[in-house]
Amino acid sequence: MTNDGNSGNEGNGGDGAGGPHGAHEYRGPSDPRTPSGPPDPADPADPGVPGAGKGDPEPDWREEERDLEERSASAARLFDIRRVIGVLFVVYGLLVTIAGFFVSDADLAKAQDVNINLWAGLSMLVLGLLFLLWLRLSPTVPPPSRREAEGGGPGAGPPAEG
Amino acid sequence: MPSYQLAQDLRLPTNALDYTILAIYFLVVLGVGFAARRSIRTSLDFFLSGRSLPAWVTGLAFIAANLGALEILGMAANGAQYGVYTVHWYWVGAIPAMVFLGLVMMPFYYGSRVRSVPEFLLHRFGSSSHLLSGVLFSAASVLIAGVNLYALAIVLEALLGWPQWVSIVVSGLFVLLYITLGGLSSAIYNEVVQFFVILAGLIPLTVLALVRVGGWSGLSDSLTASQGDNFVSAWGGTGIGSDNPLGANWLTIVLGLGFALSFGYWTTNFAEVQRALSAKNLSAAQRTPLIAAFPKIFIPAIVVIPGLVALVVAPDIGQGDGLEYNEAVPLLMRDLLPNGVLGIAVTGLLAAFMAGMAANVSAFNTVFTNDIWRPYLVKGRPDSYYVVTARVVTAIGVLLGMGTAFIAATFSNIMNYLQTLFSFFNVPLFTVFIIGMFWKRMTAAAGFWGLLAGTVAAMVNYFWFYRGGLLDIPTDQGANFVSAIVAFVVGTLVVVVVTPLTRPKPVERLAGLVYGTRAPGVAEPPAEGDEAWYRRPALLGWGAIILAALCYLPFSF
Repeated sequence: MTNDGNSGNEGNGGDGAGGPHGAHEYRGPSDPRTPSGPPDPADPADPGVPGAGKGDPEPDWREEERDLEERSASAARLFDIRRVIGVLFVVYGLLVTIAGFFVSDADLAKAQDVNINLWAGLSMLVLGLLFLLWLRLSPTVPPPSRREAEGGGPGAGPPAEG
Repeated sequence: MPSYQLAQDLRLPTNALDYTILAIYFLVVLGVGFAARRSIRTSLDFFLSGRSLPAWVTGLAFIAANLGALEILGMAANGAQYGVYTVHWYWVGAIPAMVFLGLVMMPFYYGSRVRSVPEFLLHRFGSSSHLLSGVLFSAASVLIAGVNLYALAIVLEALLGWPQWVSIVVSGLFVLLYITLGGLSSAIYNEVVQFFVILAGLIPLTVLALVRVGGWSGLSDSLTASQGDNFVSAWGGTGIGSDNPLGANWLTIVLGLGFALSFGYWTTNFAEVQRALSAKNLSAAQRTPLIAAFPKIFIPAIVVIPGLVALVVAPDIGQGDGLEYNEAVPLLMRDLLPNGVLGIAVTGLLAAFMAGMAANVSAFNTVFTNDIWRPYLVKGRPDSYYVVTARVVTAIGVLLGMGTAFIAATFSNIMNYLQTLFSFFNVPLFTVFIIGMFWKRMTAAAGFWGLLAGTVAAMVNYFWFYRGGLLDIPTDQGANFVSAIVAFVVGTLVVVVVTPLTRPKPVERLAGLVYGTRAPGVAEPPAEGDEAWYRRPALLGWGAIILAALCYLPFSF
């Protein structure tokens, strides 16, 4: 993988409602910013005395998880699902609305004299457009690079959307 | 199960438009899988989406994972069979437990950075309970995935005329493909899409169904005339000793369904909890089940109402010769939906099936890889090895699910089968969890024996006492409620008896796992924007409970 090493910050609001939560969201008092480095034994976040529990094979699992969160690519590389929902429902909405324009008497009789294709189609069209509008108003926040996150700190993100 | 004759009767008049809609959906599902693939770099990305998703996504995935085809067909079946009592599965049998998960348990789950529910057991109680719950969960997941596949196959055979094996193989392979490619991100993203497609199919169906029977008042009048007053009330006839279609009184409903069964399912079923664990911070994780609770309150409107209408339209449903209760929704689809909306509804059913099965498969590969393979079988390999393992395990799990698809055939009401399984596995798990989270002294041995004893007790109660005829309970559902209560009581007793006899874990090893302790280093400042009033977990949680209680009002007097 040829990743730019700037995608490590778990918790930056890649996609969706919470868009604004920025990259300044760190887990511990000692911010482990080496994306793939070994766990720091002096890290105060280390929960336990290693080897203290005999039935516990991984005493420092939290350490490992935090390290993986730093290396995770999901926040940076996962696309925004709002676009998929938006496009899918616009397409469905158009297809079904058009079917509603050409409704036959038999279909009307079957559907209790309701032109259900027209209503359902228009509703789906509106739903799809709303998702695309939401995406437009509150776009995906690209994850800031590590350097940026270190320099920018809290408040670097865009304002919270209402 | 539907005979060939019946399958002919339910055949839907699908046309090219409907199949176009279905084909578009399949393309989108695969596209999401391929697009999510590039986000997988570590095992955490594959199993928990790198803990990076926003709350609305995980919340809708949480509800979609529960809104499987089984849930829709089964709850519509319950509506036709038991009437308005079915709302108990939602308002008393889901909302309180979902709120409890978000407000009380999520800080332990998410805060302790475990990857799965069994892993929490490992840290709290040690490896014997860990292995037991990991193995039980894996087995249950494969079984339930099989039930899902089977349900889909009989429905598609009836509706579209596809042979059962075609449906099982094609649908199984789609799920296999998109989870193997994109891991949990792919599963969750598809669940969010599925949620909306399911609604788009069910809402028009419900509207037309209500028009067909003259609105709610027409429906209510016809049902009262044919089935009696209690059929359209939530609590009528549930006094202890009185008779009702559900075969349960208010006490077993509240304790068995509302407490034991529902808390067991919602708070420890990893297929649900996994969605919350993939949220991007603790606040989002807490809000996951709370956001899901609001749609859950209103889902009976689009699931139970079609069941009730089916009973009016086809009064002989479930009476042996004619249609089965499970065919309530397909019946209305055939009679009411014109091409177009029909395609959306068929797609919605398929989407529901996929959501349910994908949730089980993605939970299964996580538990099997992280809780069985990695700690006990092949330890200490690099992270990338376990991503490959998970992909192989996904394929094996789906293939096993296909094999078990036919176990479901022995129960006429598929929902009963599912509830039975949950009462056997989840209730003792919840018992052990909840005591272990609040009682520091509780020991590892107590955890293991409580889990085992509770599971065995539920099985003994169900198969020996109830099926064997020693216990007089009128319906399977009533027996499920009682089994759940038995599992909880026996589990609690064993925990309380074993704990004083065995040595507790040192307190310093319980940091972050027990109420009143804090794991060092996990305190996180609230993310920006999370202080907004509408994002406060307590407000969302209590709001959902009050809303559910208000929903009971029109059906209680």
